[in-house]
Amino acid sequence: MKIALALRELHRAEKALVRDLLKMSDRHHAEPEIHHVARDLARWSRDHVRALADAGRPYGLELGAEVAERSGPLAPVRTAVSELLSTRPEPGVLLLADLRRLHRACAGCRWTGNCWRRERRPSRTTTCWPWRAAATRTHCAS
Amino acid sequence: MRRDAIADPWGARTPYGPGQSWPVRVDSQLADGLTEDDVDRWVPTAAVLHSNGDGLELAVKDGRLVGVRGRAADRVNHGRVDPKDLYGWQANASPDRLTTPLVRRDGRLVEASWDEAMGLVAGRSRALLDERGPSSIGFYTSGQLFCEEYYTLAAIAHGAIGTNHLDGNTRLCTATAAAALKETFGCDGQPGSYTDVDHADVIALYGHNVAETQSVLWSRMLDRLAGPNPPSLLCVDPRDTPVARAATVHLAPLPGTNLALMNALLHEIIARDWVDHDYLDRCTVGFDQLAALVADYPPERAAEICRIPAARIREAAALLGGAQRLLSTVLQGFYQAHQATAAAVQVNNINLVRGMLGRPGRGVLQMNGQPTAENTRECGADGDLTGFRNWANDAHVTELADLWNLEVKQIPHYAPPTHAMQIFRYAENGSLRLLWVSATNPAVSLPDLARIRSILSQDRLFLVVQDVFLTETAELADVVLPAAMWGEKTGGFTNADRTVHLSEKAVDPPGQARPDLDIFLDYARRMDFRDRDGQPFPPWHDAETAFEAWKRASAGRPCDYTGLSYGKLRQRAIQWPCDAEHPDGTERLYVDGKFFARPGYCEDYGRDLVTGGPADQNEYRAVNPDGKAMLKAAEYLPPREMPSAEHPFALITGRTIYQFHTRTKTGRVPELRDAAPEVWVEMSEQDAKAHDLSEGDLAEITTPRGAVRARVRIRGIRDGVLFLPFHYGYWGTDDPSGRHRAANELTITDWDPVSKQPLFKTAAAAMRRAEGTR
Ligand code: SF4
Repeated sequence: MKIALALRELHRAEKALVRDLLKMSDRHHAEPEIHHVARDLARWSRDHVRALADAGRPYGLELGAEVAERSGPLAPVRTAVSELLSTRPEPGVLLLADLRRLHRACAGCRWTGNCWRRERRPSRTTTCWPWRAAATRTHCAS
Repeated sequence: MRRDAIADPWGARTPYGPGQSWPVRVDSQLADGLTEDDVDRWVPTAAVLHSNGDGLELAVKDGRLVGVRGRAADRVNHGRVDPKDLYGWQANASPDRLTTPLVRRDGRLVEASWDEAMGLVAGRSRALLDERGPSSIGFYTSGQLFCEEYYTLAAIAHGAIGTNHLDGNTRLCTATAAAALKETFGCDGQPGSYTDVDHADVIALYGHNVAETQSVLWSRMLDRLAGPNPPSLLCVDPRDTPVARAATVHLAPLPGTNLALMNALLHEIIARDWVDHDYLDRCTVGFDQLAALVADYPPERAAEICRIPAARIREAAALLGGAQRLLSTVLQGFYQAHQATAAAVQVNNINLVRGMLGRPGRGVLQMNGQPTAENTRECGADGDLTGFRNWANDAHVTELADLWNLEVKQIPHYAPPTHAMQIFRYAENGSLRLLWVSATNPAVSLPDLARIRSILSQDRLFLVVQDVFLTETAELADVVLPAAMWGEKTGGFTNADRTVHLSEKAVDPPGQARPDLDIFLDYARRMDFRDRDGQPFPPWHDAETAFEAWKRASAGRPCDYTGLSYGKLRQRAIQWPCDAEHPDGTERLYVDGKFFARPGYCEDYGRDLVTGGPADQNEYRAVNPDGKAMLKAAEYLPPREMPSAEHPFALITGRTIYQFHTRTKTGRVPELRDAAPEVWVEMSEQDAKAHDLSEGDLAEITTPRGAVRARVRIRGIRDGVLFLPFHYGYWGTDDPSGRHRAANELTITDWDPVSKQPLFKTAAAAMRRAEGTR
């Protein structure tokens, strides 16, 4: 039953990651690269949640396959705040903190991506997590 | 030969067959009433109004430019001259050239001395360096200066100041070419040669309207088409261009779907085993992953995404699969779209999978849009390090520091050099406080113009604009520096197929205008930059000493110039690499299946094609230890802004044969101005009818960012797609209705994740008839 436990934990982490990514995207709406890439990553994470839900079934797990596509009822507020602060430097510090947190969250979701679909989607460029975590690396320097 | 190049842009045919030399045809144009006998001297240069690099001579009489003619012996054009170049030289003598520095006083630009203007720039730079550090200063340059000027700018920005914020407007035109080459070959460097046109039996043009962007190269193709055993053409373009009309197979995918199409073409080629397995084994890595990814893209799936018949995709694949000598070329239709690099990389992959590289007629030309974009790339003025060095390889940075005799820590390499769109973002959030713009006009050419104007007009941003005319951008500047133009200064000049020309000074610049090189060096002296030994940096002082310095910087790198000199270039144009071993230059790269991709040598460790996340040396080494060509691929993702009920059209922007960029030069030349005086919008007959529009009516096109009014031209273009030329800004108009002319009022702030090239080919737009204007 270790596998079932692991799956349940991964599913929880992955769902949380989708929310984090969407929040990140909204909070940094004024940073086009963050805003867009975070949404791209969130879409993959949603795929992973679905894959985990499928994978859980044989172990008798009822894991939800769907995650919200918005960061919650506060999404418009987050976006508006980001736009209001777009000409100020302070969000840069916030961004750095967010990226760090996200990087840790990504690490918590390793082993979810390719492993389940290795034969079908073997391209590391699209589904491997460590590779993807690198996507957050670019933005830390300014 | 004199010709009416407006009515007949490509001139008379001189047919030739495969493997033969392209016949010479010398075009020329002289001021009215003059003949060649009146000309005092002919001064060699190359074409400055596109990327082809045609060899020209300027006619000089009594110290003035009076005409132009093609150089018969030049390897690029064999004497031909593009219509823009036939007339464009007249712009040098425009009465509204900038002739004296301007500084902003009480909100107005007023004339000033060089001393005053440069004193302001140096003073502000000093203060910012003291208070905020190097990252508060940024440079945005061009694809139209000379190699010596870019190299100097790179040395000043990355070396003397130590800021990461230096890029060129090449980001808008050629960034994806460079990125795609780096992803596949580990390093920038054009594999093919224009002479591949002479040998090819299939020429595939991807988003490359060569007829308008490189008209002389198109003449070469037309002459092949008119000769014995002509090549077949494949054209991928949503518009019915001259190339599309000449093509054997024309695919018109919906904008924003190129990658799905490319994945399907590869799918077919691999499924039918039109594959050179021996070449793949010897020269590449990654085939299994590529094959697995494209297995998901049967033509039927792409047909649905791209909205073209699957049978047509199969025909195209069969053309590519049956080619004996396949030349592939790529330009903005691919580069200015989302997933640009991933799509351009698939073009490289087709040639690799088919083993079509490094032999006559077998090549890839990832093109660029501007005359010296290649120099911006190799000199490191475009978001790369000088000499195709790898910012993530400490040994390369150390080598550069030693070359410049500066401390290693002086050269920023904690992250990739900042790309243009991010430089503007830093100006927007206030971390960047001095922006120095040279030879480009971002107030018209960047996407989302309302945003760009608000960034450039901020009080806290000190904007320096160095140009030849008072552009829309210069009008917003704090200091305007008048520059000398092409024909008024000397420098090296490299085109899209690595051909280096020397462009010599023919006439004096007007008034107090000075060569860009002199301005940069003047700045360095005023800033009193010093190297490790306390000597002035940069140590060079004129064009030729700068060229010699650049040669040393290029030594041992793929773009090796050490075998070139001004003296040698005065004899003829030569393709790099040119060193002791290759004194006559190098026609094609990778002839022996060897690449510049070894982990210790390569320019780039590559990026994830979907997110743009960079890999590090260990990751690269694990995948490609022996430095082979890399077959990469990515899944198709829909563009972020898709046509919707509210904005049902896909809007693409682009160029026309008669204008260049924001028309700063071509709009001041009567023949070119009158050939395309006003902005227009192209649409299909059906879309026009559905909106009650006829040819010549005024339409209003809107996106969430703005509105543009343009006259309707009904053309062969996909239903549901609108095309706007991007040349038209606001000088020369009294647009009483506000900002309704520049196509970039409409475009989106978004870019390809890998090349960071902005998207000009995917925006969702609405269209309606403009009121009261039939
Ligand atoms: S490294 Fe990538 S492929 Fe390997 S187990 Fe982790 S996610 Fe899967």
